[in-house]
Amino acid sequence: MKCEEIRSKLNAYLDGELKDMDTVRRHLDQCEQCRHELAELSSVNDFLSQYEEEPVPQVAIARILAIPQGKIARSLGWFARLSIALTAAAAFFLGVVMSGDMASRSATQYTDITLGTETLYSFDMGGGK
Amino acid sequence: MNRDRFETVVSACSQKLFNYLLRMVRSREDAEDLLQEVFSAFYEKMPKVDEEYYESYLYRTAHNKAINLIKKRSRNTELEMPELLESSDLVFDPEKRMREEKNAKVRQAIGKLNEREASALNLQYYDNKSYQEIAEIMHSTVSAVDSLLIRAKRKLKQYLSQDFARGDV
Repeated sequence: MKCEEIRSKLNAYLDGELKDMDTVRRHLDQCEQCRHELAELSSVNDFLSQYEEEPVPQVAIARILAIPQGKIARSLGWFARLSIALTAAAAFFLGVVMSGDMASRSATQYTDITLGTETLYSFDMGGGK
Repeated sequence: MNRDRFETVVSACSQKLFNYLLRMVRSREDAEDLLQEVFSAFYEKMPKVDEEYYESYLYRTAHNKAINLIKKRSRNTELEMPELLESSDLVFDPEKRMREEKNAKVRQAIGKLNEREASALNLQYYDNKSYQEIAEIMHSTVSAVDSLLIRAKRKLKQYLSQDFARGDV
């Protein structure tokens, strides 16, 4: 293998990612220029190794650990809105039924539940004569 | 339980991801914000992701978010790379100060690379990812990762030799 080809593999060699390590190793044994190139790449790694990991600030960790609460709160908010809507609808129905019951207890056997002009439901009030 | 599992993952991966993001975006504030976004996205996807792919998902999300921010900065000059400011405790704590100075030099050197070279280098050198894993995180190929890393190391070598000549490193 020529030096140029070997040099294109030196970084992978250094990273232990080369399948054919022996070919490069044999070349390096005989080629001072490629050994020099390898030493330079190693010096880049030495420079990079100066970096010391920094801890994550506690405030950031606290914000991250609050993520599930935020998601649950958001989903509860939606659920709460739905619950309120359903409760309001149920109260409305109940109110209409009660007033219908009072008004028609002595008049009709069947009462229509209406919302605006639309008939929603018709059922036996059980109060007719 | 999802929440317990989430906390375990945060405890295991947050420091590595934070440092990856910090080396990429070179701003503590941005790194913290992105870290939160990464875990927020992860929490939503967690039920659908196999446990063995948690880390890979986190790195892929972190990589995408970092690249997006860097591109956004380059498009918008008002969002130019902020300088890393030392907080007051770093100034008065000599040990932290020394660490910060060394780290700043490394981050500055990595800042000379383009975002894909920087990401590949960070993932390979600091996060011990194989070329195959890096290719998966970066939606790339092993040979493309190899090329990115060769270019990254050559650029760094050149940058460092200039600085060595000036006596800055």
